Amino acid sequence: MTEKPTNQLKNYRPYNLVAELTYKCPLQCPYCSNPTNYGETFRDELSTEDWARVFREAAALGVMQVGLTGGEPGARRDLPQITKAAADAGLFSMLVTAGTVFTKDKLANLRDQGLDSAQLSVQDSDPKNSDFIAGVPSFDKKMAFASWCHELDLPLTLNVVLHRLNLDHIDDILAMAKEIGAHRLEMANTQYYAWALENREALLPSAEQLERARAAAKQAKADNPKMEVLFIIPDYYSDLPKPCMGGWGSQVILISPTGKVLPCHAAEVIPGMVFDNVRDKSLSDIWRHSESFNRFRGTDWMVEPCRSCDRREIDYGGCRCQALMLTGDAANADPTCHLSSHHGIIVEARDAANSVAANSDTANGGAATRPPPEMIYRTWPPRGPRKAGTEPAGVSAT
Amino acid sequence: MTEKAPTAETMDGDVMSPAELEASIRQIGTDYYHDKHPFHRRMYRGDLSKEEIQGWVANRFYYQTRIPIKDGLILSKADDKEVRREWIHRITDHDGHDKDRGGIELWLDLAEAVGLHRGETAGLKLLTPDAKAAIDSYVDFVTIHPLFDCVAASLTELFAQDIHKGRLDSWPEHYPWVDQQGYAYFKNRLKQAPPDVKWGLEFVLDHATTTDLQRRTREAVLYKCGLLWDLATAIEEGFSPGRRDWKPKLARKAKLRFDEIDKAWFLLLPERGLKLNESAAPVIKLCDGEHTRREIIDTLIPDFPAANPREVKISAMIFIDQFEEQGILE
Repeated sequence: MTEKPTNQLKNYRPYNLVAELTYKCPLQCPYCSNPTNYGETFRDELSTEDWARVFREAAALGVMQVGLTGGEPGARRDLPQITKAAADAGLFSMLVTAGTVFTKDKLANLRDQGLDSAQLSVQDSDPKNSDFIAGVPSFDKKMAFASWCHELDLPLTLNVVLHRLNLDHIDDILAMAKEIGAHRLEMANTQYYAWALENREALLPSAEQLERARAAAKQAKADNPKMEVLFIIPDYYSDLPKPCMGGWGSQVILISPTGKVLPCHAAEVIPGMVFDNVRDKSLSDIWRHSESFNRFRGTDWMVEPCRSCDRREIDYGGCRCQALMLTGDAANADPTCHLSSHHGIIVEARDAANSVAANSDTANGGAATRPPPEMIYRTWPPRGPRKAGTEPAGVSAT
Repeated sequence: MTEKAPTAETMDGDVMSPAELEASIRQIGTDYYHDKHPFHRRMYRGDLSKEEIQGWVANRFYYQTRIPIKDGLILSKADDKEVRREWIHRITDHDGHDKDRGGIELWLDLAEAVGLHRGETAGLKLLTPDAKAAIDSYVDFVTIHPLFDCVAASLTELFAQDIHKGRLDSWPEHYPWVDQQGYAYFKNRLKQAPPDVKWGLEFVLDHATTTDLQRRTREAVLYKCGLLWDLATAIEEGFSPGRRDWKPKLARKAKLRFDEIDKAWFLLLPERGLKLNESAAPVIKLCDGEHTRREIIDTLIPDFPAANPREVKISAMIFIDQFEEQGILE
């Protein structure tokens, strides 16, 4: 791949860095965005010094915000040093965590090292269902984490990934966000990549569930101007694709625990694509010149219907990974687009979700009480999918 | 301060058509009328305490008493008897005639409806010095300005319909303790104001045929918006605890950064960043917990010599209010 002329890159700026510090996680959420196969080098994590250098390079490249995520970033013993390195590089940092591996003192230390904010995942407002979705008992620890954020004056985002099994609890979720003093409530519906695609049948909601929740979120937004409320529908219920990551290689850089530099969480699924590693090259070099980042920049790579579409510079053809996973070719239009010749796959999955809804009582929190659907849980260490009800795999931070 | 209607400076040269002039007058209302004032926004949301409502009613009463006086002054400037015939009923609307008790008495009914003593309100017991100064400046304005500018200044009534209607719609729900008898003033204005303002607008559009008169039109409307704004600020500072001494500062979740790449100030927040334009950045920089809103505005005005100081003041206060509402300033 030849180098793009510099003028074509002038609108590309990586404002955000997603720093996946580790794949280790005590939770086993069945919609985890980590790859379903971490690969053989998953233990070969970047060092503290690697991350410090990466943060400095990222800041020079224009990155302003860094999400310290994973897996569970708290599983890294050098998290305080990594946090300080982000602050020293001038980045606005956010700890993206399940909240189960901290103490108040540990969290206070991170704040003192310069942590700017925290994003806590909670799987549901109902403790039992939250633990069920997480695959391990975790709800109480999460609530403790939230209260420490409040006590330590650490701005808190509450993140609840929505799906069939918790959408009907939206009112309680909103109340929970208020009660724990969240500054921001992110309610993004599950998108069906990685582990979630394996569990699509169990997780994809009905149209009715989604509409009710969307209306509740909209009302909450109007009622609580001080709390940012974000509600993102699943791609499967949108007839127009989203501009995934703000455009491929356009605004976001993701770095995996082993140092691979990716344009998005799921990009590794695309066969034949080589991802450069921050151990081998500078971040700037990778951003500007790597084959993977340049592969889907601009519009030259597009095929029909994207190529001649009026929206090609609005949605950039949607999600490349979704196109690959559902159509077999990453250059195709995202099949969530009604113009895609593969859109039938989406319609079919949606219809299936709605016919299940018609046969079960999902109102009044019925989802939580009906028999647990067969879900494949994420495991640690990686040793293949695990069915619900089997022994959870322990996590070791050593 | 951001993208607003053209300022007087940029209007030089081309004479606007009547429709364009009317649109530019209405744009001033959209941008600077006091329904955007934090005190009024809180009023519509139902967030004001009884004391704050009472403070507003008591101070606005002095404004009601000045209306016939300023209208008498305006009347004295009109050579054309047709203008006087048109304008004179504005005095009787407020003072009353025959069996009509007039707007001043109706406002005192409102005072009683919100739990104030009629005699004490009439005696201006709760009038604050800042509110009095703002209101008196209107009488001063009509004293020294020609008829045309005075009529132009009255055009803020164009924007008042929504505010009266909004009060009638939202007060019974938000402030059920207010006696319904008190709403007669608002109801009356909904009937009285439209013909007045229609006449005033036609008068201004007919006469404003030069760039200079069009500039004066806009300045008069902006002046009046500024006066109403100052009155709202005076009432807020007098009756909303802590507002006068409030020194806005960035909330813990927000960080201000200068970005060397875009050569611009950014406000960084969890998972989002706001690029501040050249008007917004100086305001935010002054929100450091060391300056009251008045001090912020006094510091800003000399930094925008090309802008009308009233535009700077109102825009800055709207900006601070919006950021406070979003929890970015506290």
